[in-house]
Amino acid sequence: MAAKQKRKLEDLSVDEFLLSGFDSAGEGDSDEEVQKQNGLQKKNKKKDLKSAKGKATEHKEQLSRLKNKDPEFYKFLQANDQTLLNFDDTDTSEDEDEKKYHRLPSALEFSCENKDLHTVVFLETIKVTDKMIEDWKAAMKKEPTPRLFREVTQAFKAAVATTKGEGGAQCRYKVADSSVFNALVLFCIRDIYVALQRMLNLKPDKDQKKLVLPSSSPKWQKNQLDVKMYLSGVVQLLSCLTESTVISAVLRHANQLAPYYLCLPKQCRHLVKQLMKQWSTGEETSRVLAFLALNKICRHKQETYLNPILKQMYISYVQNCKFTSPNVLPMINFMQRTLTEMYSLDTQATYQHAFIYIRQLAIHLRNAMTMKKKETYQSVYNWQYIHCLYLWCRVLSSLHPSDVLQPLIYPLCQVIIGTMKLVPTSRYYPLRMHCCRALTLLSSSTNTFVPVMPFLLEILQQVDFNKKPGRMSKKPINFAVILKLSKVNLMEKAYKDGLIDQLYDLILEYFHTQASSIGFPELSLPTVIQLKAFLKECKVANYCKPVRQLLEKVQENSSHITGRRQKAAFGVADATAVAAWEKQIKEEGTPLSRYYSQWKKLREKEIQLEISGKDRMEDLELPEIKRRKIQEKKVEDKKEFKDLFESDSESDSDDGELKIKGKLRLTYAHSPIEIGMPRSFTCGTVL
Amino acid sequence: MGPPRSKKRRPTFRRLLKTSGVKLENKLKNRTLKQQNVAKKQRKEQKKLRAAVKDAAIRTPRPLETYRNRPEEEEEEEFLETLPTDMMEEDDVQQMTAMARQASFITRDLSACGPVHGGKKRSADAVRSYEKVPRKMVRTEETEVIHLLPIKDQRGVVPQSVERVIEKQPEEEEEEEEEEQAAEEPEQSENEMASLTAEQRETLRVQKINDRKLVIASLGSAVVSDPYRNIKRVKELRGMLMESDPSVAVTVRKLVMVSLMEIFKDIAPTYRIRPLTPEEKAAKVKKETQQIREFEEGLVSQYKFYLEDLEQTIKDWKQQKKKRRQAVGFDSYRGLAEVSVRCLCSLLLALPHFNFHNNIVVVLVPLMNDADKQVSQMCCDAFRNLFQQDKEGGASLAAVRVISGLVKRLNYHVRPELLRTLLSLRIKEVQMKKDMEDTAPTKKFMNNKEKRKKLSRMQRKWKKAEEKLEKELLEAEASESKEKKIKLHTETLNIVFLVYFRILKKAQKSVLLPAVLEGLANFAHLINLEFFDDLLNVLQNLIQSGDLTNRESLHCIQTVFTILSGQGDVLNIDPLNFYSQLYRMLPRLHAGAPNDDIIIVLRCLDAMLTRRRKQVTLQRAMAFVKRLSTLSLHVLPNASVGLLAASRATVHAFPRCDLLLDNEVQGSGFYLAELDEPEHCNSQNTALWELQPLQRHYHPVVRRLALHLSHGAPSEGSAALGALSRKSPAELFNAYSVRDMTFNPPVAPPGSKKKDRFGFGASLLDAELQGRVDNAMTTAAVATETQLDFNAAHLH
Repeated sequence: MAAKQKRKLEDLSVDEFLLSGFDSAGEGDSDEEVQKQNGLQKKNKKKDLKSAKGKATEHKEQLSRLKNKDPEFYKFLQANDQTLLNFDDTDTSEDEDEKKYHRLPSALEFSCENKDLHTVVFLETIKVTDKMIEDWKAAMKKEPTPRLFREVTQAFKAAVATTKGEGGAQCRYKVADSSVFNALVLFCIRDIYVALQRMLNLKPDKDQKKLVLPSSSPKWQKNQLDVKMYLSGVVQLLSCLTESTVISAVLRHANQLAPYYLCLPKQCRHLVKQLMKQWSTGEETSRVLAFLALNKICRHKQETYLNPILKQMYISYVQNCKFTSPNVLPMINFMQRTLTEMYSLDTQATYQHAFIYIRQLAIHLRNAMTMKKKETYQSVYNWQYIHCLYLWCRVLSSLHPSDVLQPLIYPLCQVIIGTMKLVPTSRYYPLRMHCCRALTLLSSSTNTFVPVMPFLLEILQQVDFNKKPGRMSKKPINFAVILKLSKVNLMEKAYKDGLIDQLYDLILEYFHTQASSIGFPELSLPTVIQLKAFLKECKVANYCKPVRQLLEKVQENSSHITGRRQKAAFGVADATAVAAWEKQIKEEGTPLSRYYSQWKKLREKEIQLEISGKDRMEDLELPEIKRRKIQEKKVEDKKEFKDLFESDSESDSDDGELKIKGKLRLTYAHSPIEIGMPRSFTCGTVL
Repeated sequence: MGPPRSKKRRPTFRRLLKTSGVKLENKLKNRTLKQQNVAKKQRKEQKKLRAAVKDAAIRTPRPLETYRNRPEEEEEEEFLETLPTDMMEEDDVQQMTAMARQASFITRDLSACGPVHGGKKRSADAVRSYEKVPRKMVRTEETEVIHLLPIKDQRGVVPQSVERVIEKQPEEEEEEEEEEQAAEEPEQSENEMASLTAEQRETLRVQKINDRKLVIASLGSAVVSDPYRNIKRVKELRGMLMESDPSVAVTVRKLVMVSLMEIFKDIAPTYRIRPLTPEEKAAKVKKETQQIREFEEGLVSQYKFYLEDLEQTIKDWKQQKKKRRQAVGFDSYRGLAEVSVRCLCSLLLALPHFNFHNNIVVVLVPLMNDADKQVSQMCCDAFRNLFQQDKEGGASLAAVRVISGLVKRLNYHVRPELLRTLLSLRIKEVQMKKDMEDTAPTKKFMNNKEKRKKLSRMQRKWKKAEEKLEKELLEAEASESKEKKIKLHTETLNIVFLVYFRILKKAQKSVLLPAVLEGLANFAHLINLEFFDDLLNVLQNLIQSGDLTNRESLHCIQTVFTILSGQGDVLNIDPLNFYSQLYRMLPRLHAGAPNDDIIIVLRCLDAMLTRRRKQVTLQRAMAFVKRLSTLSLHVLPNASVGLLAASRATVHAFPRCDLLLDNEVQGSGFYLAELDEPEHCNSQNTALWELQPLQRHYHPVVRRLALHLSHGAPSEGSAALGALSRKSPAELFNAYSVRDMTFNPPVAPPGSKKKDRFGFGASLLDAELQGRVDNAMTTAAVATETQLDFNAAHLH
């Protein structure tokens, strides 16, 4: 069998290549294959080779003819196989040899045009058995040779082909048994990478910075075709898997193979498409792994991949954050973080992206401001918009000491403040709180001053806490997953309870970030006045207590700073001395920061409790979750980048899931702490 | 309906304020009653006429021949107009001209639009005259057209005028097109109509409307092309206001109203037409003069009747509304009335110099307070524009008078918008203080004695000529009109203040208070000195009552300080209380509150600190600077910029404020940030530490200003402001407004061309994420080692 194999190899290398060429078109190629099968006959190869000289010009003619003859198919090609159409200029990165071969298949591809050009039929297909796999495994362990690798690749391809549902007639092998399939794929994803490395004599990269590309190996030319076939197979496999653990395994394999993908642009593009899908909609581990692969690809070939990938990632981020619920929130969070990582790769490119998208947000806002209609302000007051604001806050704050991105802080702040001031009614308090959180994050980590307090104090001023609630409510309101309160909500007791809690959190959070500022006493002056006024007015003991506590802490901190700065020996103009002083104060700790860290610990405990409570509840309320899943999927299909912000978004508050016994504040910390990330993935809700 | 104004001297303010309200009310009531009576009489007559006309229209069967006739007339007219005039001989032309003049005499005598007749006579034979209209039209048409031709030719104006009409008419119709949509349905189907299907009826209606439009267009163009000859056509056109075919009545009426409005705007002269005295009538005059007189008379009477019609339409609508009777569809009444109001508004603006302007004002002012929002909006806008564009002040005065009467009559239950229109009065330009006029240097001419003493003969001669010339120049310069203007403005403003003061005194709780305070703040520099005492007291009480919103209090403070910074500086009052008020209010004006309040604060500060620097203690100034900087931490960026600029101005006015930049303790005591007394808060013992966070502000301009201030607001050096320093705080506030989401200054390009490096090698920035990634990798690796089931793919 080996001998036969060898002969075939020598004879049929062109045909072999053809196959790989077809496969490389990925899942979109089924049409071509069908056509090819029609003309599947063995004919003389001389003509075949001759016509190979026809080269690109001829191919182009064919294509233009095709365009006239069968426009639909041409369109299909345009959509799915750009390389075929732009035949001449693609793949220039590949070697000369490669080019020579590469032209052949294209001349062959359309049997409707060239009846005389054909591929080889494998007369007898070999059925893969467990025994064969064992043999291959052993052989691989011993000495991976190109021939062996080719056999395995062929088998793997056959296996993958079965997933498409049409028997791999053109393959040399056949995989019929599911256990064989399993064994083969498992073998591949376990051993192929090491074998390939050995075969190509690639040493594992020593310093992490530089990736050793397999194309640098002298043996690369010979094995390129097989590698290509194999990589296409992996992508194909990835596209049809559904179970998360399996996907993760394959993704890990793809991660290993990333350097190989980098050498083959077409395969890489297909891979990126799959990765994008996994990143935005997959399970937790697969998301992480997909992100890792994307990151790897971008890191090592920035100039080609970074911009399109960033764009696609942003778009799928926006598409996937239309609905916000306790379950989805961690995923949105994850996407924000990973996107931030991607944006950190090249700040110049990031500036361009951020500039355009922030401007887009500003334009939406301006339209809403000038039109003053319900439809237009709903294009701003939705989850997608808020999550985008938050994303950019996170990006700018994570990439803080950056001269390139620094100028973007100003427009972003202005947009966020403008958003808050657009419809400053009580129904949109939750939205305002989201904005305040984003601003607090941004201002604290970029050391920029942004006035946040006034917007919180306004709430305290506007709401009459003395008024008795119109109705009692069972459920607390989860402010983290709503943007807008219903009219009924506004009358509930839970609304005012939640409001006080939220304000407490937000004020404390903000003052914590400013606690060691030399201007703290001035910063807190209106707050102190307002809180005092509140205590004077308010008759509800439950509300007075936290407010009084807050007031005390703020005043304490204020007097601490005042005392310290009175002893300072420098003037107002001395910026460096002030900076040093602030640093020192920060290190020493202020009363507020000490209190804050205590409070934070407590809070985290509460949140943990909340999560466990939530889990319990989720077990009981499975049907509800399912319903949402269906609904969301439906909507998701329709989404387009165009109408990103157009329709109003929905927020599932899932109040029931957060119900906990005992007195607990029901909030969801957006900022640094990540809650329930691992756990909420387990509930099986796929976005 | 002339303006029957008593020439009695108006009581002065002071007196008005002191005399009892009841007395005043009675006085005004009497006056308005008198007015009303006169108006009522005339309206009654008009109504009678209307009723008669209606009766006639209903009784007489539809004069079908009018439809038939009109198109023919059109054709005829056109035909005649296109006759080649050059075929005529010179003699013929003269003959025809003579004939034409005669004919015009005849027509004038016969037509009903002759010299102004008494109302009663008119109403008596109204029916007959109306009946005449169509028949007469035929005849006049012929004669008129015939004369027209040669005359036009002679003057050589034919092409121009015709062109003008053609371009004018379509646009008019366009604007009217929309109104047709609102036209009412034909409810009363006549016998012939009943037999028709809905479609046919509709087409018939459209056709009718088109016919009418053509008629209107031809009449209108005739009038506009030669108003002196064709003033009678206006009457015909006006006759169409009585259109009684129910299917098209509303539409046609609207069309006619708007067309007439445009026509009057076009042909009305730029002067006021006065009635002729009997002597003048008796005297013989030239033919041209006679023609002009006829035209004027006709115009005035037609204009009057037209205005009466409009008024009547509005009144009908009002009554309809009250009775809630549903006769001809309430909507159509409403539509008609709205169009009338619109016509009146546009006439109000277009012809403020012309006759009957006062009458228009009298009609429109009550409508400003109408329950219908659209109508009141329209009227308020019209008056606002009138005030803005009124240069002489006469029209404004009349309007203000009526407004004040209305406000009083309704016992201050009016819309605030009505009072806000007064804010548009253009009185700021004129210095209306009497003492100013007195002190103004009047040019004295030397008397003879002096001249002889000082000057040589030649010089005297020169001087004489010069003086004569100067005197003439002065006269020509309309210095008289300026005086008149000032007089008018003074009177207007007196009335405005009268309204304001009355409200302040009697109706403090009304919704008008904000408008009043705003108005006072606006005109504060023009208030007479003698009122200051009372006014200050009233405002003081208002502020201390604590019922006012921030904005109202700010208006109070602004009023006080505008007064004091103007002529009030002689008063030597220290309004300490108002300083404390503003000081107390400042922390409440943070970004959560409306941002526009800040602009008033900036205006106040300018008057309080910078202009009155002599009267303000250093303590107070420093306290204000401190609080302003504190406030600038809590407002939107443009307000921050404005406030910082205001502190900068204060620092310049009080150089000793640099104490605030040092960290040294002066004297005893601590700074009491929460104390609301600027004098006693020990502001000398604090420093402007808030400038530090402000230097980290997200807005670039705020950063720059903060840096500038922290270096003591130097005029040169690295911390200097440059071009920014030339703008006032209020200007800066407006320049950096974020209201329409513009980015001023524009967003800067990337700070450097280099890429920033984040993270090293393959590790991620986010440590937690890195952990999770590692975790995922190991999980996946473990999974790979264990048995995996790929069959899902198969089954799938």
